[in-house]
Amino acid sequence: MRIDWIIGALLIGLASTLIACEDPSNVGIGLVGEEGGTPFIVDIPGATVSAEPTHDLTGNAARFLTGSVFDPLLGTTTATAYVDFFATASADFQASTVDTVVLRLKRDYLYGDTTATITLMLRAMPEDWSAEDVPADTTLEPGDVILEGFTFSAADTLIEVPLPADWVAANDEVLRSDDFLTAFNGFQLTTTAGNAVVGFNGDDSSLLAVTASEDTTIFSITKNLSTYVQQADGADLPPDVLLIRDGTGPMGRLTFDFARDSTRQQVLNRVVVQLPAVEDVLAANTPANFHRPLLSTLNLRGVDETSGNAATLVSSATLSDGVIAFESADLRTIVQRLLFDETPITHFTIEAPATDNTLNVLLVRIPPAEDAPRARLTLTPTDN
Amino acid sequence: MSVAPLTPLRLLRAGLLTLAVLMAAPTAVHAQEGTDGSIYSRYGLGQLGSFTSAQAHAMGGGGLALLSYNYANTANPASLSDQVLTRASLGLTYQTLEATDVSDNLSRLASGSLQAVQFSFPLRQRRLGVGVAFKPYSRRNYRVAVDSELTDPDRDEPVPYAISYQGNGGLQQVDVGLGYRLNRHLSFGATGSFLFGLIEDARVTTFEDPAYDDAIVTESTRLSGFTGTLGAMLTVPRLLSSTDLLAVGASVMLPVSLDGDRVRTFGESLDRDTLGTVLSGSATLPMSARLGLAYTPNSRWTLIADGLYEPWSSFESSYTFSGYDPAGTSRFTDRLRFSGGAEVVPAGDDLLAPYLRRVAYRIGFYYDQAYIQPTSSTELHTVAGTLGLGLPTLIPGTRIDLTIEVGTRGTTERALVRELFYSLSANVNIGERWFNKRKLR
Repeated sequence: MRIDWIIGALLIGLASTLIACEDPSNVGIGLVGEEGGTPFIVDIPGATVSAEPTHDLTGNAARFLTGSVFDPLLGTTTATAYVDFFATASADFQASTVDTVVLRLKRDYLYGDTTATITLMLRAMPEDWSAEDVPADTTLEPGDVILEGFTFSAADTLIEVPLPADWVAANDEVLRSDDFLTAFNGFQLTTTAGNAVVGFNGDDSSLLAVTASEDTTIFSITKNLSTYVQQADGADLPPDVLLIRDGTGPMGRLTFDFARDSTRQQVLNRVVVQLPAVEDVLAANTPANFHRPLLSTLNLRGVDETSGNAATLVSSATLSDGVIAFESADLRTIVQRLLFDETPITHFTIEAPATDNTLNVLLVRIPPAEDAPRARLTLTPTDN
Repeated sequence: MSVAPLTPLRLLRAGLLTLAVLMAAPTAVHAQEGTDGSIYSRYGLGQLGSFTSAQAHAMGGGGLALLSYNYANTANPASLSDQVLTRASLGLTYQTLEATDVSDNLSRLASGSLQAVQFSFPLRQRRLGVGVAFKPYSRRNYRVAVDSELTDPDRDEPVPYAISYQGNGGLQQVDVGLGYRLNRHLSFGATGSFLFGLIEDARVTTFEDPAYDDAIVTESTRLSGFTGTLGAMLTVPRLLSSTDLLAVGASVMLPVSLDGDRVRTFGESLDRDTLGTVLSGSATLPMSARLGLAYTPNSRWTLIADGLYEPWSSFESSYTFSGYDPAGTSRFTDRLRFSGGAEVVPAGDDLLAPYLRRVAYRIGFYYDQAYIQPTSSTELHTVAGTLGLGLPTLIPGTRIDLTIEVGTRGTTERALVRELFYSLSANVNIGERWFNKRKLR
């Protein structure tokens, strides 16, 4: 018999008995004693919760807003919409004469009196305008009036506005031109009556042109812009709440005292910044048939005032059970650094995603109210 | 039964097989990590090592007075004087440990580790020799976990989590020794030792829910310092018969002051952040006194008995260790270790005897009273038995040693844990003639 194989068999047999093992259990945990490591949860109320002026960028959003609304809580908000179009017209269309043009507006948003009759004025835009990086309080100079007013009910979801025959005749060549995109500068939509701001869907709204030979071309919206004017006339906002509003602003500014004794130098397992929505104030100040949409989607950004750097930490947190909860790995990283006395940011800002383009409203309580914004931290102690 | 002798090729194959089995085993099972050892290694500087040589290990450890043609004995620098061959040895050990508490809960752990690397050579045969060794002085390798639940107001159900307490690392020891034989009875030696290492205690809080990050907090203590060992050996031939030899060995390792830094960090190993400041400090380890006897009645039998005493009650440190608080009470106590063992080589000096008669068969035991008391006035005892084979090869002076150790440590009383451990050690011990002076004939 070969001795090396005897040895090998012996070793394998021994090793087989040795490698049979189980996961470590809590056997011996009594010897460890009070060594800590037990996670705990602590709520840190917002140290400061204040308004931060905003210049919301509303160009080329999913919708454009127009109208004017008096909100007994917030005052008067006036919105003006600008839209421009493009089309790929057929040869038959271009060879004929435009007979009728209809502006089709698909309403998908309402803020204000749900029973209102709304009258809008339509003006031509004399020059090209930009919808990129335009602040919400921008004013663009309009051109000639096309329609003094067209009226519709706040409940209507599709508004079709035939444009005057003289305007059609005057713009016949432009509408059929290959240079339509540069020769035509779009419309301005402003309000003349009705206590509501309405929003029209940019994808579903269009300009419909029909020639004498019944060739039809749909001019889709190529760009849109909404601008706002906010007046605090008659506003009655309680002093213990902070308004956060899409479109006009303001956005919220938050700071927390993370370096308090109970939290500093601890390991962060989880952090959730929670914004309880103040709904009772809104409910108490809402007239009959008045619709005031709640701002239910928000971004949380971290801002370093010193360097001017800012970064979105949580995108599109949504309202659930009366609370908007912000949570992400990026937020955890930032808060962990704050717990260790670093200052990657000076404060948080809360703002609506620019793409939504609404006038939606969120009220939050100002500290020291119990339901003021808070940061809920799950921590593991670093000491024993 | 005829047994083929080990050729160099077979020797290599058996050695590789041995190492492969041992090295592959730790990665074969999930739970087998470097931290899967005795919970008692959590205390003090960890579990103290006692390896001296493969031969002595299979005879219960110790072996302070062992003199052997086949093994270098770095335990006693005086024995370095008695060398003929240049030697190199490498030992690995693999241990399975079963821990039981008073409720009969069982935890089974396994770990592999380096036993020692040794190199020695004679400057003058049987007169003056040098030895270099690297081996663990202490080892921290425990892991124990507790499951619990966190009540989070944001969750309908409690959030399960586990806290795992883990220790790893330990102190390593590098020895450089010199032994000198004064006359046919008396040898002296001295060893300079550098102790260094990193002892880590980690606390890992883990959640099943990915919304919660795990928390790893580690306390790392880096220590280093120099010390020395003085040894003496007295050999008395023909004490009871014309063929016997009695050897008495003694050594004292001097107290050592280790300087160090302690830092607390959090995060994974490669991405740690420091918590607080680095604490500089020191720890003074006590002296270690050993006494050993070896009696060789003839060329077939060797009997040994050893004792060790370390007054750890005098341990001082500016750092807190489990069981030791510089500002409070210390549960360190004096360490005692007794061991005994026997070796028989049936063939004696007959190199032409059948293979199995040239194998060295070893047996031993030891008792160890640990230097820490897990709870107040509760001593920690380890009792173990050893069995070993010393397999000769066709290369004179070269052996493969296999040792099995089975022992028990602790008790389930007073909320302690009783550990039953089994270990398998493999040691390759190579000896060759180097530095021969050529002579003109």
